[in-house]
Amino acid sequence: MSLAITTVLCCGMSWRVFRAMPDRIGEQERAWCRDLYAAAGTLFVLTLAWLELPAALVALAWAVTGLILLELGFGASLGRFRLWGNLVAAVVCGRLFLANFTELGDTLHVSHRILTVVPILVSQYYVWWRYRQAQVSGWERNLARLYLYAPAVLGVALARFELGRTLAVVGWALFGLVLYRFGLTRNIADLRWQSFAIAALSFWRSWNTNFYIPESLGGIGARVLTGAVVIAAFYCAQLISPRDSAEAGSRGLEDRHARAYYSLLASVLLAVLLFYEVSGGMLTMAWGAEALALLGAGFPLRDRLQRLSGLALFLVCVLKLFLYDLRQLETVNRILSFIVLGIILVGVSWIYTRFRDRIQRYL
Amino acid sequence: MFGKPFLAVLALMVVCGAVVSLGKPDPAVSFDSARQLWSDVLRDADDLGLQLTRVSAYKEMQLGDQMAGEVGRWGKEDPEATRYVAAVGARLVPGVNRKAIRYHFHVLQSPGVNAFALPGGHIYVLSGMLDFLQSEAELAAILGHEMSHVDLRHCIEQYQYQLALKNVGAEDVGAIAGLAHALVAIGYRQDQELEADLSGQRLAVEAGYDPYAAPGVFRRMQVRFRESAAAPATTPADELSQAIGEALGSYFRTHPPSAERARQLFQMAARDRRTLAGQISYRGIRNYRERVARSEREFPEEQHVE
Repeated sequence: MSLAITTVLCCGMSWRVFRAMPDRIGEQERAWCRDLYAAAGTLFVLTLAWLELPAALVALAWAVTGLILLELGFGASLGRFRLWGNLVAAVVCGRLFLANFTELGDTLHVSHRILTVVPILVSQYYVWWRYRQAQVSGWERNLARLYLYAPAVLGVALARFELGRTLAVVGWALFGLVLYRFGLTRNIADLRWQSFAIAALSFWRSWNTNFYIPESLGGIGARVLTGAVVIAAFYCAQLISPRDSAEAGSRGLEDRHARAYYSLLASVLLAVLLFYEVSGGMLTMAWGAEALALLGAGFPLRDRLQRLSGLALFLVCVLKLFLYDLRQLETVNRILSFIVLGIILVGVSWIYTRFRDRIQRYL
Repeated sequence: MFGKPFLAVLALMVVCGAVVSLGKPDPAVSFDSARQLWSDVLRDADDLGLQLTRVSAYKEMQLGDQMAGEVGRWGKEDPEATRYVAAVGARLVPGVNRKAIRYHFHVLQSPGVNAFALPGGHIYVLSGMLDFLQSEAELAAILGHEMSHVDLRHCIEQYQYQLALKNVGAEDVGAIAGLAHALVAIGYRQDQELEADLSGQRLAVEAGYDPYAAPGVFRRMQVRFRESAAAPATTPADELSQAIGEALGSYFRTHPPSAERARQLFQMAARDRRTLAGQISYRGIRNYRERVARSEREFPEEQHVE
């Protein structure tokens, strides 16, 4: 109670000093007093929230305090209020790791983790937007970018803890796709860079961890389920990335190669998934089918890299056929591999010869 | 001064806060999330080598048989208790993912309250652990935990580098690699224990045992081994220093604190209760006392509807 009264007094004094007595107190002294009272008030509010609220709600209450300070700082052009708001926001990020990510409670089957972390993420994106509106300069300009990166990091951590180590890749891949979409539509390069990093993380974790786990989810193998979502997210990102080289070129280095990046991630991951899912005898045929699909999709999508990926995979199939399958496979599987791959290669060769002129344009 | 977007964000935060307060917020505070993220980094780095040096189930069982021969010398096996434990363990086998592994159960006469697993499916329970447990459901949870270590490859991973280097004639290097790997694995050993806890509970619940048995075991272990919880912090700084101290102090521990294990298992049991609503689960206190496996005889009073 005493802390609450002191808090109100501090905040009131800060407000009072800020507003009144311009002629009796010098500007410097007024600013000094205001900062002191604001700092004390903030500290008291944070302590009060810590004392009175459950551990899981403290970060949220602190984030509200920080947000109000920042809003006051923007509204009244008070840089020191924004500084305090930024400090509180930094403390909130740390607090989430201390009390929220491993929080196990839920209300109406919605986990407290989501209920506490997501609003904070939204508030951070809001602060970034507010900074952009306010057109600040100097160190605050660089700081504003942190409000774009912090929620991405927290979002990745949230997916990790909410979905678990196995399913996290699904959350990451979809989160990366959403960031990429926003990055493109709002022309925010930072979001696109974040999506590339998250895609790389999803790719690495899928290949390195998920493709080896024996678990099943709802009767479907976990690696198929998670792998399919991640691969689909990569292909979606490829499809929405700028195809026109002039459009991509005007944006920057990352956009010139975004399409190729997502296409390669998806194709390689699909090939690796097939490697683990399809047993030895059928693998060449499965890869041959993937190569055909890549090649087939590469024409209507006008994606040279995709077609080249398909052709490269065909090459791998042919090499595998002669170097491995001939010696290792049973007769039936060996014959099947030769027939299927042979038919596919003849078909591709025929298409390339028959439509040479039209294909020339695409190449 | 305050615009609509600001008020909307503020309202979202307040509403979410109010919804959280309607539930039962978890009071636990620790840097466990940071430890888990660090553990993920270590595992992601380590997994690459582990995938490249994988051994087949057959070779794993061969190694396990060799090691079991050594372990057999540690103490005398209790055939009667082994028969009972094997009957309970057999109920859990259908739930495992690695079907090629054949499980063998042993009870060693030793006062230690412990159980452990060897690669290839050899599960050991010390008689001290059997004295500590109170029901068949609790035994199933412990067996499930140890079987999960095998099922999730935690056991064999400790020897993979050594085996791979031994195969190419570099046994000495293999010993060093094994040591280096053990040092890296310290960073994620606790997570493997938690994973085995949850997976073990899943095996026990799928076999029809009481989901609240496992958290009960760890609560009793907390009391038995005097794992006292830290006194509640009085200031935010105090809380922070406690959390940092605990995080640093527990890094080299192989097992998470019993309270943490009980907390996670209890949460899982609460989730299971929702999905298992209306189904019958089994405690088996009488079975355990009389050493009659549930597969041999079910007592109606041991069943309860979730």
